[in-house]
Amino acid sequence: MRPQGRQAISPVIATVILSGTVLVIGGAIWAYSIGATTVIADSYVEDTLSLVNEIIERFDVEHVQYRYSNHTLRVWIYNYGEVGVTVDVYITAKTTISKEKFSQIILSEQVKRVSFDFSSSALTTGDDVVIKVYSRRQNIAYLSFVVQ
Amino acid sequence: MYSKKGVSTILGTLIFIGILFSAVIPMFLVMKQADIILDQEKLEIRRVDDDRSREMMDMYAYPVSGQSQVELKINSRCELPIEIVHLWINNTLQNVDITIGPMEKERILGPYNVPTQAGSNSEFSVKATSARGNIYESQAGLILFDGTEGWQTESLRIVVFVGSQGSSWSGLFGSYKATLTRASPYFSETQTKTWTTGVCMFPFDVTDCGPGTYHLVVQRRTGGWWNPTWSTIYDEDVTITWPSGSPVVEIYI
Repeated sequence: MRPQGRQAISPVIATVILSGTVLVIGGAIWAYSIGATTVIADSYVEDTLSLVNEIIERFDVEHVQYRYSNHTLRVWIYNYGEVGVTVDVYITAKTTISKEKFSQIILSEQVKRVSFDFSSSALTTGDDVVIKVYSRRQNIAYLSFVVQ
Repeated sequence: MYSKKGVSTILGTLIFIGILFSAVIPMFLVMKQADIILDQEKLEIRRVDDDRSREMMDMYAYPVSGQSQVELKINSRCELPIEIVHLWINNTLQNVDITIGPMEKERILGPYNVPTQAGSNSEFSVKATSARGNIYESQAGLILFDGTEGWQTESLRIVVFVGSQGSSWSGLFGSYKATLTRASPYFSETQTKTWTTGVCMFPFDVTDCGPGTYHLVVQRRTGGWWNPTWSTIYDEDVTITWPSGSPVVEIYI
């Protein structure tokens, strides 16, 4: 039984307080949701476009030459895809000699020449050379070359 | 009094719907759009790779007689235009922009200068790269320059392609005989292909006999197996004009 002389909070005030609480908490959740979903969507789009670039990049070893005059192996890499590539080039000669060059940037429809110095271990006619080109997007091109 | 009890519930529902429409649904739409772009690119690159695998052409490099130059003869063997972007003569790269039409035959490119020196021998290998990334080496092989005798070649060939003659069963499975002859210097060779389907090829190596005019006769077998007869479907002269022309002559019948 309600004690006499003590009134409860007016239903109007209670409704206002409850509604205000809902608005404040709901608004906070709304703001957080917009921010979170924007970040999630941006990240997803970025990952997807990165995957697109990985799928559409195309490159190949177009030509190889060994110059006896200065014992240099020259490798031409042709990017025939629509996006630029950054590649690391690895050379294995005579199964024991390894050389590499990193971060070679090749723009779309361009040819890049990469030179390797073999003056410390000169190659001779008939030596096998394996050229592997790895892109930063994990695509690979390779070529076996016999020194002529 | 009772009408005021659901205000906060209604507000909460409105906020939930607002979140749904202003945050969650746009996120899914953006993600879906990205997926569509990915699928489009997958299809596009599949088409590009397919075009690359279908792109085919034959290239023959030959020297220009008496000149330090080479020319290229190109026969396209595909229904796609081929854009040649790089030309390699030995280790020298030339950027070019040449488009070969679909199935275009006998397209001559050049002449291109090559560094020959009187008194010293040289070898030249020629290859071309297409915009699709295919690399075509000269099917005529190395071009050799003899310091005293001039241009030499590795091989001279006459290649005869015979397509299916007729649409009947007997036309589908054909037996053909090709005879290449030359009076002086003497040359005579006959090749036979039996029960072939599609296009059959008769390669004649005439390197030893040298350039000049040959006579080619191609016959197709008709009649039953018990009384075979040969009917002539081609009877003409074929000339190799090397080194002022390609060392390989192709005849399509």
